[in-house]
Amino acid sequence: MSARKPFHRSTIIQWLVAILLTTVLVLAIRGVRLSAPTSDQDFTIPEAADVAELETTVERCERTLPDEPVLPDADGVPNFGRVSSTAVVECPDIFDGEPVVYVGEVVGDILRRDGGAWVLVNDDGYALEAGPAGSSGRLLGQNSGLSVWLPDPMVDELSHAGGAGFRGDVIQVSGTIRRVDPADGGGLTLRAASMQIVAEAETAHTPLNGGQLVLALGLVTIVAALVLVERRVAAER
Amino acid sequence: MRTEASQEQLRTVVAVQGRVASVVGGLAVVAAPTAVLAGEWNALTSLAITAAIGLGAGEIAWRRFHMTRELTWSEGMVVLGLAYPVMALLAAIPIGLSGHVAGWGDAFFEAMSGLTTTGLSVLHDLDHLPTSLAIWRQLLQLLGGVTILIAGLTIFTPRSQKAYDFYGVGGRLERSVPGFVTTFRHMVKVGVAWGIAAAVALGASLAIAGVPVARIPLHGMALFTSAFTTSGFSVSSASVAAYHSWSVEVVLIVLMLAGAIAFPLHLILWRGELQRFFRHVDTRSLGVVLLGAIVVVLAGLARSGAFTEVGPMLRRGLFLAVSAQTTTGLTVTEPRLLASDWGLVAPAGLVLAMAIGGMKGSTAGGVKAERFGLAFKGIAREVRRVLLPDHALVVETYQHKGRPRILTDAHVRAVGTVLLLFMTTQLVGALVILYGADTFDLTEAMFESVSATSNAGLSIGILGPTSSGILKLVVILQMWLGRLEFMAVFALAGFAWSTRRLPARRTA
Repeated sequence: MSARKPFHRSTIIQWLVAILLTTVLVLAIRGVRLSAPTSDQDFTIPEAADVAELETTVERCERTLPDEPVLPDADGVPNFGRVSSTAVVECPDIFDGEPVVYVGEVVGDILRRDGGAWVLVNDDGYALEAGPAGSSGRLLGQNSGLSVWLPDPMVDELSHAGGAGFRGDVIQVSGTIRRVDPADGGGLTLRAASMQIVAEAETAHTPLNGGQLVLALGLVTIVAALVLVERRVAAER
Repeated sequence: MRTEASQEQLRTVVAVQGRVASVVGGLAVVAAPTAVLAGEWNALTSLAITAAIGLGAGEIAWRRFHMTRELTWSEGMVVLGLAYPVMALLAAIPIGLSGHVAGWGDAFFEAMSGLTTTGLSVLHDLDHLPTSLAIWRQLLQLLGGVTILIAGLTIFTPRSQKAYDFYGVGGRLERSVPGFVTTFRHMVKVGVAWGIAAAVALGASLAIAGVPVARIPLHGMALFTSAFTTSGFSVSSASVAAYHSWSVEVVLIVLMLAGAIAFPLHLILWRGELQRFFRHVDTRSLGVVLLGAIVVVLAGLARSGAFTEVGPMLRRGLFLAVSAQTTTGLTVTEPRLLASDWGLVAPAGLVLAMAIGGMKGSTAGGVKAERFGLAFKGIAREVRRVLLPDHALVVETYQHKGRPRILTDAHVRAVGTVLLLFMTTQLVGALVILYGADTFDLTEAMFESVSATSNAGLSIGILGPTSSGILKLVVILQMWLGRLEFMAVFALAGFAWSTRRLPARRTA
């Protein structure tokens, strides 16, 4: 028979204490998240029209049929003007080989090679309106963007790509959509003919969450003390 | 006697969960220096909170409910079933505090997706995620992959014939502790060897692709952990398409295939026993279904009319077929393009590949290629039984560990049970998707549902941060059930029910 104390229902008080502590901990973590300070930086791009308005001009395309142009034509030639990445991805067929204008934030890495660079250009809410989610505290869904090929002279104009703590350069690109770009092994791309910087890259300030810092320091101290006591008691046994 | 056993079991389960919590806490300590290096102080404090809770709760649970004996097989299943939610609860803390998820449910989803090596994501604004949290997500995949491999060496190495039929047809190793330690060392050796090879190959490929030198370690580490653990998280919203590099894709194809190979077979390869490797039922089954998947996907792409040149079609189709078959989930195409530009046949091929999956004893999900092969052998046996005279003895065999084995009714029954469980879960998931999202059709719903149940992580663009809570909950369940192949979750449910029998303290 084991000398160890059996695990009974009557130890309910211990369990209640554990549940109480857990609840306090959960509420504390929830509290520090809710009270997290956000940056008041304004990342809105006044020059960039609302992308949501552009999307209304494109309906969802049928999967099994060739896509039909649904955008306004000018003298029989599709005149897409500025497009959104969502529209291009939903109906790649109608944009294939067509000249378009696209505005978005350069994110990730600028992959320089072969006389130019591949960049990922997002035209989501973080790029054109709210700035990085961690900084602004505004959640606007997943990222959406297009792969863009920029020739060297254009790449030289870029200063910084967006990423952790950065809103990258916002650029306006005029170019041609390639539904299946052979130069990219079959990817959907936009090949730039011209580019202009709409907004320079800037640091996205993320204020230090003081409550989170205090909670972390407090927990580390309490847990270190508890573990030391537990080990001492165990050693004395 | 029964209740005494239950008390002991509960103590044992809590003690082991303490160890599980400690591991997550330790992982947060490992990730913390990256937050310091990147100057991400909020991420650092969130990792410190996770470390403190994980290590503290783990230490207390382990010491208070100390294990007094070895786990039984059923206890092991309960421990494993509970380990994933426990790990995910802790792992969700840095994600929830990051400000990149809408709530704690989403943080739990993201953690569960990483730990089950699925790779579906509900994060907002991944492209601006702090570097240390991107690394945290990758580490979760690694932890989840190692967990399932260790489970394969211990808990999934059953001691009863009943359990062996269900789980242990392939990938069974030594069950003694010295045997486990030796095998685990081999596992680490194999993993490190692959890691070194991947570091060289990916480093060179990323440099050629134009990735800035300072960023190569982050991208290399992320790609290796995602591919080798067949997980699929990425540091870019464009996944592998962000690199625009065929050499990166080739290296990843090799790593994904390596990740989908059972570790016992890695050991066979390590010893250079190529003939034995290629004769194994796992290798043959995976080879056949992968070839089938590639053919279907390429035929579908050719039919869709999206590709006019063979080269690009082969490149995209091959990568996606391997990613689906190995249930990795890395992608070279925008998810919605699968629905808008790939026709119906190619995505259907990917669904079939994901449903079948990789090998048992690896981190790959799905029903597993070997079970699929055995199911076909079972069908062949039944057909022969019908065609031959009544007195004829029909025996079907398969190669395992270099020797022929007789396919028994118990094997076939076990395989059929798992297949049925997977299919039911996939169908129910698809129905929930259809109910909650009017804009998607059945084929798209099946794609997402199969991907979740097979822990694949490829998406056709349905699941995202703005999906309904019910859908996210169902997908969490699918990922959990699929990862544990159902039995561990059933064992956990049975255990939870049995704890109702615990008696009140007896008075002296």
